[in-house]
Amino acid sequence: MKKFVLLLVFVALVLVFSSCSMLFKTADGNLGYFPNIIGTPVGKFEASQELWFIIDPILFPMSRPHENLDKMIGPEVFARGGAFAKNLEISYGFTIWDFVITYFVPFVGRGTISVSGEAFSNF
Amino acid sequence: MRWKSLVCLAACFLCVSVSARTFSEDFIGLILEVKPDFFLLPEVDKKRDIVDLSFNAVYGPSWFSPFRFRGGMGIMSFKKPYVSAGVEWVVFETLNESYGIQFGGYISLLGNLGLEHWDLFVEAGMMIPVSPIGGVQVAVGVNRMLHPTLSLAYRGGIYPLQVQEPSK
Repeated sequence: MKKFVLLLVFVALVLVFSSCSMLFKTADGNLGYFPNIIGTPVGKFEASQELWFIIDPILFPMSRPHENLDKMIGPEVFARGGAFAKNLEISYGFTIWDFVITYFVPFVGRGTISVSGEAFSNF
Repeated sequence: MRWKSLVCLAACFLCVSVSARTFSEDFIGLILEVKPDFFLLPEVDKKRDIVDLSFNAVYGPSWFSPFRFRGGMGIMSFKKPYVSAGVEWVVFETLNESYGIQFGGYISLLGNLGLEHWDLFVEAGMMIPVSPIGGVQVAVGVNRMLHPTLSLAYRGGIYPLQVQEPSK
């Protein structure tokens, strides 16, 4: 009985806190803060990737684009001949289709990570 | 390894911002609701297999805040289909970081119109989160005959993320 109650408490906590904050990072460690860096702007970019999860993206992610932002930012910067990016804006949310999938499919959900910014070249 | 992650996370907070500009100002939502009819129909109050099942969409344009439109369809006692429409007042609501609803309190005015029946409901509901996009709502109220109502709903709602095509 005690185990059952503990299990229920755990399930309740998981459900109540299932909308906690999202962690953003890069796998290559190249997400930094360099306020004095200057360069020539070569274009703005925006990239997005879907994030599939079970119950919650923090608890049981099926993909991890939010932890590999370099794979979204890097190709966009390099495609424009840039060397670095500034004015990054990273958003995690649900498009209308994400919402419909997450609402109707039991336990499985989908969100979208969106990254936008401006690419700069060194010279 | 844990410290490395924390430092990386701190750096992320310094150099990026989670922007509200990328989210729509208009709300969309869905509500799947079950309402036991034995409260509504006292003469059949022992027939517990009678339930009112409905599915509603919610649309909240920013100019209509704190109210939202609500409309959909349902079936009463698994026999009598109807359409429903109304308005709900968002008494309070908290959003998570992905702009999905977390906790919420709502007062709704809803009309049901079927081929053989019609009704009006005023209900107050409270929602607790069970997923990143919404949760379970319990609502109490009255119908046009002032019979008490009780409903249980799975509702979700978001301010949609606007993913734009990259500018060239």
